Amino acid sequence: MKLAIPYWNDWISPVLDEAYHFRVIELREDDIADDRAYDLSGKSKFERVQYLRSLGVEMILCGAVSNGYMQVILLSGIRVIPWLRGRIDTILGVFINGELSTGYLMPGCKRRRKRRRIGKHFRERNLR
Amino acid sequence: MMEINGKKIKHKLSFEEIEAILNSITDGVFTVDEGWHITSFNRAAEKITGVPEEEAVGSFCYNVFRASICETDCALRRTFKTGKTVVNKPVYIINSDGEKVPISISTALLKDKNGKVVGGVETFRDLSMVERLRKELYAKYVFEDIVSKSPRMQNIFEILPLIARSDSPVLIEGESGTGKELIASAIHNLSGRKGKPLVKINCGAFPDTLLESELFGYKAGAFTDAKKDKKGRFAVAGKGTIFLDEIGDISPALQVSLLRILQDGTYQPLGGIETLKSEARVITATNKSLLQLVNDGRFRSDLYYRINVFKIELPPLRERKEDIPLLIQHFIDKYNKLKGKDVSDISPEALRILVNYDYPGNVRELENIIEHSFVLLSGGMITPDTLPNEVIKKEIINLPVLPNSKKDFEREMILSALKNNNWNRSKAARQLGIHKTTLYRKIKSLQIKLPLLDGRNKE
Repeated sequence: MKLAIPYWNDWISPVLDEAYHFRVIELREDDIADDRAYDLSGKSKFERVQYLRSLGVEMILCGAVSNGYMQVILLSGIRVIPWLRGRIDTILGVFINGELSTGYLMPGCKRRRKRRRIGKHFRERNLR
Repeated sequence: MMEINGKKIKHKLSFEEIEAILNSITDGVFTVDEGWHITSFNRAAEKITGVPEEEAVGSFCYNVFRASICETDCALRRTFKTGKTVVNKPVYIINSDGEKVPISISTALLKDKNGKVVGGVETFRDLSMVERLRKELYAKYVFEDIVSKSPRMQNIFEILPLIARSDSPVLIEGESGTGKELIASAIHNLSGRKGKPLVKINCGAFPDTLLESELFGYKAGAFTDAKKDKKGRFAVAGKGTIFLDEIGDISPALQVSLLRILQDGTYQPLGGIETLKSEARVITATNKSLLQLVNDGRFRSDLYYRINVFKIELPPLRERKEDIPLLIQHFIDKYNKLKGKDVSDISPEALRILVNYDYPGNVRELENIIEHSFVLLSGGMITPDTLPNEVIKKEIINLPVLPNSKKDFEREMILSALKNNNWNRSKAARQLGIHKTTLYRKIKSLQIKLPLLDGRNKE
């Protein structure tokens, strides 16, 4: 599967709606098979989603995202795990190991996620 | 020591008192250390962001605040760099419910008693209510996709429903780009014919013979390529509305056919012998003065009076400049939705340029200007450098010209200094703060005539 993470220096971008730099990572059996950076500066919000879709991205791991933009992304067929914070490599590591927990959520968002190990459950249920 | 009502009181605010003050204000306030960790977060900040204080304090500010500018143009970062405060910058944040909240932010540096920068403070105001009021106010100025608050247009908005309810022909006059087609659509939508076809045709876009077959249709064999019958636009309109744009451009022959359809509602397709009936309402429009064309003998007066039962005159944009800011906001909202961008506003300088422009292409031209800016922007504000060159060029040409204004000013200054010093050039030069040789040179170049009797020559 291919996933995209908006990045800002070494960190996940705080707001997906305003993010233009993406790491697109291809995972094969829990290993990173490919990892590329894309600069989508100058593209509109819709164009960025279209572009990621054209790259075959199936999931976005990101920080805050507005409800409206979330709907647009979901309609394009890409799934989203939002409200994440932290270093991009840390998040990627815990996602691959199924250890993505509420500890990686942005402040004020823990009430939104009741499950403790969101990554593992999400992946097991959706990516089979 | 502090003074209250004239009394000097020795008092230093305690931490609890400062906290109580911060929590009592309606603006959100948070402070950060130099490592961008939040060190305090007041109650209003909790309410606006949806983040509890205990979760916010210690976190990176961008993970809590989640503003549109955090990554690209952080206001606090700029204040740290330049030492200058940012005041009331409009941005949006995403609260913990995923809602976009419009806010305005202001920043300042936090310094210790030695003047060393120890962090920054950001205050922000929730503009949701302002935004809601702006939208409500805006809704008052929108009438069936037409945006205006000018009294002339408001008068048109008032009479439009009345005109729509009648079945009489309407003539819309206005320069190109003033919204004649929008008015025609509004009349159709407000009439009992809504739901039936609204057929629009630009008479100026067809050669005369083609226009006739377009309007009335033709029968097979009417001309070489007429292999089978074709319905005309009047037939397509049925019991709906037909909008004939640029009516001033039609030929005298076609004027006769149109007169007939308006008089008894009948017409004949090209090559046909049977007479068809039309029940369509006719709305016409022109960017010329039809009365002038009538006076010149280029337009039939009987047709003019037939189509001119109601006349709506649309003012050009240069005569309703109060609408320009409203229209700009309308087009910003439109293109944000269409192009998925986040252009927030227009800068005061760009707005000044657009208000001063004379818009030969009217509202359509303004829309094109905004679309042009959208090509160059993905967010932020419309600034003068995103406006088309012709608008900027016009602005430069329109600048007031002040020939020799610097020279006139210098001449006045020098003359005044010389008079004050009884025409003594050395003293005058000292007063002006320039060297006396410079003053001599200026007197010569500005051709200032000195009296024969001066400070040097008293006799």
